[in-house]
Amino acid sequence: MLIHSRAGAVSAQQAKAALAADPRLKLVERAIKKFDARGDALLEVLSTAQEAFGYLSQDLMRYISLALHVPLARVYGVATFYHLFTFKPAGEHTCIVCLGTACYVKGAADIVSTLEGAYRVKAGQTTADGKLSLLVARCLGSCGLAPVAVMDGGVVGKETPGDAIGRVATLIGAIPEAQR
Amino acid sequence: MITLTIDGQPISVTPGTTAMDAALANGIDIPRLCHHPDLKPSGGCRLCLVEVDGRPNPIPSCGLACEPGMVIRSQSDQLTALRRDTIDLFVSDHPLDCVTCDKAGACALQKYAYDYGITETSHDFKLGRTLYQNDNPFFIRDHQYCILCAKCVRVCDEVIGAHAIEIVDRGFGSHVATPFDVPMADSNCVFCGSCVQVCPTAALLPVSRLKQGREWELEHKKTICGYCGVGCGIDYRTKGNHIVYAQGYPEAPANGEFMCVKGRSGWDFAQHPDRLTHPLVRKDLARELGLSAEAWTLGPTQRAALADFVPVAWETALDLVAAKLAAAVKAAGPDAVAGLASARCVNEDNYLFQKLMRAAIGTNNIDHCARLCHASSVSGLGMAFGGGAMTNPIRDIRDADCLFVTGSNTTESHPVISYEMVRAVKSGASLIVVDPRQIPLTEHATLWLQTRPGTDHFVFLAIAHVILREGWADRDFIAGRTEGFDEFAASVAPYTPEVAALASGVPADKIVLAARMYALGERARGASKYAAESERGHSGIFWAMGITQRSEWD
Amino acid sequence: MKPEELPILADKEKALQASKTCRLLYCSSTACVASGSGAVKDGLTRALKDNPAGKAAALAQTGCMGLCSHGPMVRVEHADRPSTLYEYVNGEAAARIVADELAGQAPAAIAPESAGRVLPQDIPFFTRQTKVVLARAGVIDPERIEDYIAHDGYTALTRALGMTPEQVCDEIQRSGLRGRGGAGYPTGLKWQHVRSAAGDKKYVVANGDEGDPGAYMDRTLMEADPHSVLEGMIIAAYAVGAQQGFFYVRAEYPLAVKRLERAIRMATRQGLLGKNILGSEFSFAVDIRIGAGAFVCGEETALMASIEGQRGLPRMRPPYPAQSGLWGCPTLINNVETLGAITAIVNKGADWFHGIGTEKSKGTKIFALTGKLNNTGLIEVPMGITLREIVYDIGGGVAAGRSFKAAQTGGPSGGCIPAEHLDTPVDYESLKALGSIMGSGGLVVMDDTSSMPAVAKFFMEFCVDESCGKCVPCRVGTVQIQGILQKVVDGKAVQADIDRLERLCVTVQRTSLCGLGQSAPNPVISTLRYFRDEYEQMLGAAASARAEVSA
Repeated sequence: MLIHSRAGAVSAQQAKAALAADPRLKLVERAIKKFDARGDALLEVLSTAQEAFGYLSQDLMRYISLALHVPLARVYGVATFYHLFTFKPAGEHTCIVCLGTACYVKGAADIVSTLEGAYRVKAGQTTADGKLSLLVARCLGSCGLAPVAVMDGGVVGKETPGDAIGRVATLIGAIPEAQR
Repeated sequence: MITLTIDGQPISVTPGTTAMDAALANGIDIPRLCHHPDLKPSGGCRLCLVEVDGRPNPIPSCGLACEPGMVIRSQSDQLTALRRDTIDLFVSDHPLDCVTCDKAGACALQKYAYDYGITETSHDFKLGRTLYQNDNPFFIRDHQYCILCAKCVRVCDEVIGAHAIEIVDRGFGSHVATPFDVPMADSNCVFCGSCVQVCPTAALLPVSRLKQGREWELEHKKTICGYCGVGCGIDYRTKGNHIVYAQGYPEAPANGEFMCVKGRSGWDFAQHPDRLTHPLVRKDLARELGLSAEAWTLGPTQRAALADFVPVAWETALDLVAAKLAAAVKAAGPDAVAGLASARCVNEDNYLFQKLMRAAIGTNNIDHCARLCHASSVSGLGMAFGGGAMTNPIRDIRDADCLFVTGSNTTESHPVISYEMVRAVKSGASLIVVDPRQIPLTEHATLWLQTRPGTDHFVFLAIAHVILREGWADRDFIAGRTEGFDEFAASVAPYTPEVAALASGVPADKIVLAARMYALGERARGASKYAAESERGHSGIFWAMGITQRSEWD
Repeated sequence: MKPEELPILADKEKALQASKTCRLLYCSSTACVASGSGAVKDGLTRALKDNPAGKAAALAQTGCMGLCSHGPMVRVEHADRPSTLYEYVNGEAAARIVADELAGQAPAAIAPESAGRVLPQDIPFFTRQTKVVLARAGVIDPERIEDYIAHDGYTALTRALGMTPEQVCDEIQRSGLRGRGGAGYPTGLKWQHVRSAAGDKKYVVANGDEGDPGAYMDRTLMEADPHSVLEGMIIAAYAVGAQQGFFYVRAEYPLAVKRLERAIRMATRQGLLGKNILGSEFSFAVDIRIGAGAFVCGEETALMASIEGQRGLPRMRPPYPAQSGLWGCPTLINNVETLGAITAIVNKGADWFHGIGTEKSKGTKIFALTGKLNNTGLIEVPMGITLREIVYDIGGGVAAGRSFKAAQTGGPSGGCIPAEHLDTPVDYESLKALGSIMGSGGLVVMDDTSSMPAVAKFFMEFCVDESCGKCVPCRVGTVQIQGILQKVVDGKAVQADIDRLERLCVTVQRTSLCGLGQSAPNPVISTLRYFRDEYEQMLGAAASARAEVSA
């Protein structure tokens, strides 16, 4: 915000300039316009930005703060409150394992630990080579098919640890290190 | 008024009062960690739970609106047990190292742990936050002591309007941070220290306070801040005639507990080694008069800067000045002498100084630095209102419905007044800013009329024009209390919003909107405090040097 | 649109549907899409195109048909005979179904384990249900407003607009409908509160932030019949005098969002939403707000903070949203399923609805039946049905020959109900008496392989993760409870830990700020109540004592 201009503060123009070359910013601008740049549309605009960029960079949050006239501290506070928002680029591929009750009862935790072991990545993080993000979800609402996983957007039901390993291997085109 | 009972005591309060406020106002102390009278209730600390007849569960008194006939108990075995359990949870996430803690004696959590006999947690000690940040010269942030009452975040947003910090993340891992956890200096922080003031624990402490002794060793020295015209009350906490830190106190009429960076931290000159503490006489004069240097200790930089001076005793210096003044009067008459006083001196000193000039010297050649900044307002206000000073106490600002600010960068020049303005806006008042610059207040403004420099008077004239044209003026008041109004009305007749728009660059419709908001006292939202007594809201005009020092009417 | 145009539109759509030899409906809800209904759709489309009789048949998508574990599902409807339901359909089976159905043949006899076999519709899974809210789910194409209108859509709105707002509130109050989000507050009373609250500007919010893991009733309803929820909301807005509505839907439910967006667009185009609805004086607009992954936002005050673009922190009540809600205005917040029941009540009358259910719990309830059962899926049953009927008749009993151990209702805010209480009628009061809650309708069945302390720990981890952090009992208390449960599961706990656990549960329950914290200990308390022996067997001392005996 411009309130107290000093070395660390960034102006609207600067924040926008840092992103200007990025065509994805258009989507965010459209969302801001759709909501008349109202501060209460912060969550909608952040969601659009998250979807367009895959994560929220500092420049992006700064830009949104200025465009909506919402203090940057609030933008950051809101963004860190909701689990939907991430602050680092996601891996090339994502595998989300549902840990809802129905999936848990049917052994989803085993799928997670198997994948964690196989790809040497903790749930919620991305492999060192940036190939795979392993995420967990709190119920995807497909409990009838428990346990459920989502591989690059495609939902698979009645998953087993073995199948999951195979599916992820196909996804990223690599056999897990631990099994080589 | 409504009447209710708290702890068997009948209490009368105005509708809308919370049970907490009703209790505190009547000497009933309810434990509380996240409550602050100047902040909206949060309800997070759960210590202020009370029992209410007819309600199955204990209710936090800070958010409980009093109702007629309510029967409230602030003490019971059940409440004591619940409070003990709650404190037990607090201290499972807060080190009880009170013996070495700088806050000991002033820490609210320590007080309640003492009151409720909690010596250690019965749970597994587990800290949610461990950061220690000393990234600025004014205060440190020691997160292990933070109890997430969020008073710092709320005061920064609700009172100061800076919103430099926020609770980030959530649950057990939540903590107070600047955006992206940048150093305080790179955030919106204005270092007013209000967060430090309201912090109940040692999570926020003034740097100057660290390892400077126990709270009970410090004395209270109350005084008035000398920096600007607001006149904030300051309570200096001192030890051995040394200021340890400055804090606000609730009873201070102008500022309550809140101060700006200058008042809270700009006192180091008082004990700086370079401070002038005794009279100096020029070396050549001293030699001429045969004065010898007294045994003073000079500060390191003084020694170089004062190479041309000789320190002398007060008696010597006063005698010298008196003799020289007397000689001048004798040689050339009293009017050969002139005196210039300063607004940095207190009123009493200014009074005595003019007495000295008029009675002792015998001249009217006495002036004051306020000639520069205040003369126009004295004559203007004198003419309009019969008195050349502020018309209202500062605390009235928070209850205004519409604020009209022009020629004042209030946030920087009179920060504590800007707090009152922010508070009014946060509770729904509208704010009109007429300024060519994007001053900080524009961030809170309902309407910002950005004039081209030097053209603001067109906007003012057009606003008067619109008010008269639309019939928004209070005709009865004008008829009863003014003279020469018709001439005034005629003088603004040519200044339509369109004319003003052409001259100032402010769109005509915005001028009309500002005129309506101001004339009718329209709020941005919510109900006026004065709704019962008047149809219109109450508006206030706030200006400072940007108007008083305006010399050119083109 | 004028009210009299509605039946014309309905008749036109009915005539269009009747002109077809048959209608092939494939389920396009999230569960069936995950099981491969995309391939089924392609298979059906191709087969119809290749078949000369294909032009005379209609192909449409529908919402959930209920038995999600048997998907993808296809239903074929004929004007002159009962419909046929196919389960486990794939692309090849789709071609065979088209061939059989267009030839007018009975489905060919196929091996019992093969894809696309016929699922009899007279099994208890279907016959024991009472479809009120889900009446159109799996029957209509949720993306076509015409189909909804042909199935009595928006007739309730027409009827309501002919009544006074007070009459509408009264009707809902007389029906005995209670909030389906879990707490069970009388819906009509809530409407009255908002109606009588002072203020020109009022809001209606549909709470679709279905965060309980193991529950997907709201999702299914929004996906299968978005217009019925929308219509319920418009009626609610008329009754309370609101001008603006919001659907608050989880970001995890993209299909529900898409269908609601479409429903809002279609309804607005038809003059059923927006200015002067159906030619009346009443105007109402609806927007969608996407939740961004915070369970606590199902709590109404946190939900409102979220709609206002803030951190989803709950605040103290009173004031209740009915007095001071969104932006300080009176706000009606109803669960999606609650709103889904409105059209049926307005159309069929309060007395009819009042006739279903038990003394204090009226109407039907949708449950997401999951866990170790033979049939898992979405069911709608009359209040008062017993757990046994749900588990054994509808659910087909516990899978893999194991035995029933407990049913968990109410998710992380609920509790476990053991076998000895299987004959309890399902209603708000009975479940509460057993230490659980109705909740939003998640019903997870556990068999004898489930460890109850581990289940309690699972739920507590969820609460730790989802606690907003505002109040200390929930922020710190849940972490401490989780710590003790971890000790129990690791075999390191002693009796004193269990005592501390119980006391802590009561503290968190009694002193937390909002419903999340107040109910967070429920899974622990209820498992301690019914399965204390499991905890005790896991105590470190008990474990070492056993070790000594065996040595």
